[in-house]
Amino acid sequence: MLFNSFSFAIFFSVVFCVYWAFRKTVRTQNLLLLLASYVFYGWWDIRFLFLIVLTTVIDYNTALTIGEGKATSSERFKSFALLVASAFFCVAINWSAVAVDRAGLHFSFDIDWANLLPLHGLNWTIFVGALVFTLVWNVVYPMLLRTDAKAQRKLFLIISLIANLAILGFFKYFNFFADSFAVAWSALTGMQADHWTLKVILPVGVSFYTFQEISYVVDVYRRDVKARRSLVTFGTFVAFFPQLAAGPIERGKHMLPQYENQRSLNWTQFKEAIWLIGWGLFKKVVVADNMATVVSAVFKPFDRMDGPMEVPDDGARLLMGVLAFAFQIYGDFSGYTDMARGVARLLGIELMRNFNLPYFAISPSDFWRRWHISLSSWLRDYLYIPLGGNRGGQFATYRNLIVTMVLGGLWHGANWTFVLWGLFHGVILAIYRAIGFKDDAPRPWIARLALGLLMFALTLFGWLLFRAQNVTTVGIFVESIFLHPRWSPEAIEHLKTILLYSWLLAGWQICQWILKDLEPMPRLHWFARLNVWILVLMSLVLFASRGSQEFIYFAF
Amino acid sequence: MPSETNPSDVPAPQPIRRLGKGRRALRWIGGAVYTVVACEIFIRVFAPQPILPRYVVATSYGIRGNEPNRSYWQQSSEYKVQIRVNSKGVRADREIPYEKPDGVKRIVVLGDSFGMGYEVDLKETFLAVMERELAEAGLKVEVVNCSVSGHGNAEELITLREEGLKYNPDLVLLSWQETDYDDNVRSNLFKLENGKLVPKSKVFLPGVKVQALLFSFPPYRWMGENSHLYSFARERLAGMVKDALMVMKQQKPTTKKEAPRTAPPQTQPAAGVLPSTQPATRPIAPPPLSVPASLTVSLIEAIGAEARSHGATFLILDVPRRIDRVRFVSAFPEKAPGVPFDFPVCSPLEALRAYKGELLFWEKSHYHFTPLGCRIVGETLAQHILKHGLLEKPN
Repeated sequence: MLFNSFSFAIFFSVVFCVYWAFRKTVRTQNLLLLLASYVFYGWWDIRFLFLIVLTTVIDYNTALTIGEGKATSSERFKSFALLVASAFFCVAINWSAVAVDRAGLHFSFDIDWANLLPLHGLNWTIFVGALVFTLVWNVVYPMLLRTDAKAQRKLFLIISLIANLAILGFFKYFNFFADSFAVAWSALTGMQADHWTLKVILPVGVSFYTFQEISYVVDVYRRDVKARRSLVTFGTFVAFFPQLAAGPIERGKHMLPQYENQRSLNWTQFKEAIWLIGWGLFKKVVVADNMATVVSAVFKPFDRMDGPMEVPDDGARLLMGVLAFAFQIYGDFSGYTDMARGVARLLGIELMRNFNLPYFAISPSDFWRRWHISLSSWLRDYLYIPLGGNRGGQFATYRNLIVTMVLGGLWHGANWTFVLWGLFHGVILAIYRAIGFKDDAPRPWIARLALGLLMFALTLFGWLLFRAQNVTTVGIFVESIFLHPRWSPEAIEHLKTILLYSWLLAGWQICQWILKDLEPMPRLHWFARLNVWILVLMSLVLFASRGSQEFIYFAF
Repeated sequence: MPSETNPSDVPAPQPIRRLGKGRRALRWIGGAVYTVVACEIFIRVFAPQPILPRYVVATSYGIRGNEPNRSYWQQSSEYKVQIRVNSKGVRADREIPYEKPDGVKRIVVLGDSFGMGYEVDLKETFLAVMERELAEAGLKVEVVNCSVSGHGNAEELITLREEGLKYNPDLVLLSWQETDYDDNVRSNLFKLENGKLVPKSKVFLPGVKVQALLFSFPPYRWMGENSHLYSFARERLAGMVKDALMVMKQQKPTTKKEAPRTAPPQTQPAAGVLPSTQPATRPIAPPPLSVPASLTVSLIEAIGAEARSHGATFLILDVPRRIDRVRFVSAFPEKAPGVPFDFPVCSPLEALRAYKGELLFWEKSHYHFTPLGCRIVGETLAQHILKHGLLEKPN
């Protein structure tokens, strides 16, 4: 279910009304949020809902053991009952045997009973696996509790980390490593190794909720956050639907108290939330989806490259493709975050800000303080600092920066171009640090502008690495842009498209930057607000691309 | 790497000034008027719309007809044309009596906006081109264009019975195009009962009364002929109403399942949707026609029968669907993929394909034929009529 779809509008309207009908009972509201989140996620592929429940149950139990000494038998019973029930409901039942047909206003349900509960295949293996896991955990768990407290905390932290990373690694990286192995094996031995490659489907949002759960368990281990005994509260924290598919990657410290206290929604919050949803929708369906047409036109021939390609003699066209991608990925991802924040705010929940005018950055470190803030701060807190941060001398700092960024790149997906993208950012971070660049040093505006333009150019090169499907494409683009920078009629058409769909976004960002306020709407005069709404709504009505396009970050 | 700094310092909101009721009302009214004006400016600057006012009224036989004696302009950034309708609701710049003059062959045309020649001048419509071509071939022909924008085959059948036959046609030309599938279901005028076409409803006048009421206000009429915003909103609203009508009027399926779910996926497109471009690799039973396709086939048969029973020949112009400037396809119903029905069809598909790359359909408007497209279609029609001697004997 996409935010920019009609089905989500209906879904959310129902959730919103029922949610506020129970405004006096936090527990009921949380239960509703949990159910709604599971419905929201199951809409894509109900089988993967089991994965969320699995990680929730593991992290609930491990965090309680780390933070509170143990999970009581009642807590274990409830959580594992949920696990087994979800294995049956989400995986054992073959939901494709249930069909809903519609002709006009007539609906008909058709259940293929013979195929509803197939007694073979992976479905029951997973169900039986869930039962066995439940049994083994509950048998082994009391034995593990006998070790000393410090070792026990460490042991359960490791169990949680291994479980989360194993799930993430299998679903996200199995294909990548298996394919890479098959290619290398074939190159070395001349033998095919295709049997290594399974085509594993990537569950939506797995990178986001896994990282969020890791941060919770680590925070509990570090005693920064108290382990929660309520399975509903913790489950909601993991699966809260506005941020489930593409973040922000929240922290327990920020979110859990919100789920435990009574929420409210006043008129001001309501207006702000509607603006965030409207503006996010604009960024997604007007900016990102229309930029996608330029990006696709420029990159598609290279994506399908199955032989040597000529270097185009109109480098400006390729440059426009990269520029359009910069707007597309920003509009797509920050649009999603804005909508997520708006939807959450309508439920009385405040999500963190994930973007802060990233293309106004003057250095790589400044960029990473502004782009995907929840991931970069996660990488800082749970990877860069544990690796030693900047405490081990210059070389160790550069190494830590590069390792962190390469892993950050790999987080986005299993492709060597993401690794290169991370490496590139790691290297420029190290270079800026090596030359002693200070972001907050006083500079004249012209110097800041020049630095901003330089950083934007570097960011564009990063996006080329990010978007290209292979390294050859990067080489062709660089050669064409720098050695054959001709403006063809197509390049001019692409530029016009970019200007038409991005001028409002760029103008609004300049306004935010000048006012030094990321949410300046409430400060504006009503007439200015009216004009902004007219521009946004008219753009939505006139320029929204047809059909609901998926968000780029759902694939990460 | 990120630091713990707060992204921005948000200043305290300004205190809210309370306004009196009068000033508040004034602000609302002023704001509303300004919004409309600003939206009109926005749309004119960034996305100019074609303006295609439609003047239709209720006829005495329960369906829409062109408003008699109405003259109006259609315009976009690509053209500006005048539509003139005579006192009998026919697009023409003169009166056409029912009585057929001696020695004249009459062609009565049934169709929608394509048939009516939307977005081109009367002299450039494909019917005018056809008339000229036939005249050059020595035939004295008079075309009576009974097309009405929005009509489907159901309304065309009624128009033929109630109006078209009064002109004593020698040839009935049906301008058929893809939207007829949905229009036939939406209008709810006929249904299939045990495979036979039977009347279902006597009246289909969507939005006619509302339009008549609104157009009785001159400022509203002015807006309809000049405002890009109005034109845009009207088209969107009409699209939504059409979709809703389609959902509401769709008939309940008579059979539960056509094939078991476990059967391999069907690789051939269903008949009545698009002709197959791939040859069948093994003999397959033709899939059943969809409800809109079977209804359409029955309606076409009824129009043909009606024409023939009154001594006229019958011809269908298959208006192709434009995919892009170089690709056009036929959407005309087929018995099975690649197997045509036994209808007298004239298709300008090949002739249009020969001009691929040229502007044959307007692209910044409603994708009707351009004058060039009309010329090709008109010539193809004339050649077809002459080749098959359709004005010489009944078929």
